[in-house]
Amino acid sequence: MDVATVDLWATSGRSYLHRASATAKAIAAALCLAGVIAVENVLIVLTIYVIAVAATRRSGIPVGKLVMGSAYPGVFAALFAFAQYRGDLVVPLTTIAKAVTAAAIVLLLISTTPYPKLFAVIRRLLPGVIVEVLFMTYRSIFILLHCLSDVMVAVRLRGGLVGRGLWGRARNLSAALALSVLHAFDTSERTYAVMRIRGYSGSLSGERAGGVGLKELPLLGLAAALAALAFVFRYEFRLLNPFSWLPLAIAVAVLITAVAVPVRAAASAAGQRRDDEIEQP
Amino acid sequence: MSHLHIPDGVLPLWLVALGWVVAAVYVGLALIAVRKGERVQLVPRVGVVAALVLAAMSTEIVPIAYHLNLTVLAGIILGPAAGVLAAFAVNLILALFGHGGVTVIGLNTVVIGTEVVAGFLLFRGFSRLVGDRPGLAAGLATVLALALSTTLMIGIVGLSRIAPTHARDLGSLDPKTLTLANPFGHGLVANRIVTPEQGAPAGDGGVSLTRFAIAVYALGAIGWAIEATLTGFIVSFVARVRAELLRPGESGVSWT
Repeated sequence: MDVATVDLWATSGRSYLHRASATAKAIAAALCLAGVIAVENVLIVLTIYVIAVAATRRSGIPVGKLVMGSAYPGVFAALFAFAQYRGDLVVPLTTIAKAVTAAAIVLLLISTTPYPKLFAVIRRLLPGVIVEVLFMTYRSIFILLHCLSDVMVAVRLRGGLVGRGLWGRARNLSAALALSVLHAFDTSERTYAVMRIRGYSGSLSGERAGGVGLKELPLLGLAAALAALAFVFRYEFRLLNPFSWLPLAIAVAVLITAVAVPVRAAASAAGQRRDDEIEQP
Repeated sequence: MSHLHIPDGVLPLWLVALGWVVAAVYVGLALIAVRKGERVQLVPRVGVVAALVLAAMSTEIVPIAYHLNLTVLAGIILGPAAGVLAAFAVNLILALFGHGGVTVIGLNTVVIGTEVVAGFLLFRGFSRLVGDRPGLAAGLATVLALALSTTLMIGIVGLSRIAPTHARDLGSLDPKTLTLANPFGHGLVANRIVTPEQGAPAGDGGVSLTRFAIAVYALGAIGWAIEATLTGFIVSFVARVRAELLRPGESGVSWT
């Protein structure tokens, strides 16, 4: 996933999920993840996935990009799935479905929550210095990717990745990466100096994560319902498995409704405008 | 592809919890090792190197999920303590982007943290052996560090004895034919489509460790070669231009 695009979705969206507090979204994501981990019924895993896709649609985030992004860990899960294969496909498919669904949930979380708010939630759980490192890492990614992109354009314009054999191209590519490393260090020194001048002494002022209010109750209710569904199917599978198609059918109906009802695609429109600006300097 | 991005829901909970405990010890030791007065100065530097690792990891070399790690480079530049902090930050952010499970951040930190620490130590060792050829030392350190972390990861999978999924749990899908059982076959309110025979566990459903290890070593070895080549060139370049970066203890920040 393109970090900059995800960041844009998170900051420019105005949907219900965007407006919900980061704490509530983190709790909801944790509940859904717990459900995905607990359940072994592939249809229930897919139910949670379809609901996540529907929520993505209602949040104005491009569904195709989230689906593609969440499919990426499926490639790694396929290795586990390959090792699990014993002649039937359902066990490996369940493993892949779990990986993809868990990824869709966290992607939805980060696509609707600006990173300072998300890190404010994490600040409650981890030592301060780790959260400071997270902040700096996230800020630096954008600078680095921009720098790396510029260096790669320069390398290509000078024919650095054409001819010269594989070894020569690897050497040029490495030089470009090394330049980025040096640039990264220069950036870190400069950033540190600026931060010190501005009074940094070991604590970046953090955004507030926000609490859980009445407006977050529908979100938490839905997440709790999905988690409960997963746990019930986990422990009462003999009784309930025959009906595991039913939640999936309901989820598909929800998805169809989410697709059918127009949505303000603020995030994607803003993203398109930004893409246009980048392409026409 | 030195490490595998273990997805959520695959490993048993006890192993996931153990991973968090070990990762907490790693990070705790790293925080103790980095002297308090230096943490302020360290934060931007660790952040930038972690961002570099993330940028490398988010750039696929070929479209089958091969990507650079630059974790050994991070270890060489930051040293083991700050390197472990960077590894934790990288895993946390990767998990937020669905690139590895959230619950297994601990285990992934142990794997990548080991890679960072081993990379640093091996680089120091090989530098003494090969003399004034930092690129070669870095390349050799990368191959060995990645082989070590991959073996650790396979060991984790072996420890897990993954067998969480049985056909009986999988819903009304028939695992043999992948067809859905007719939910109305016994009436709309039927509650017994899973027969006693279907209800019995079908096979162990677990991972074949041998098959898994062969797949990971075979795919991983190609990645190690690519990573070692590029890391070697990068270190060689940095050694010519800014050699002090390769001696983290002498560049202003402790690496103890």
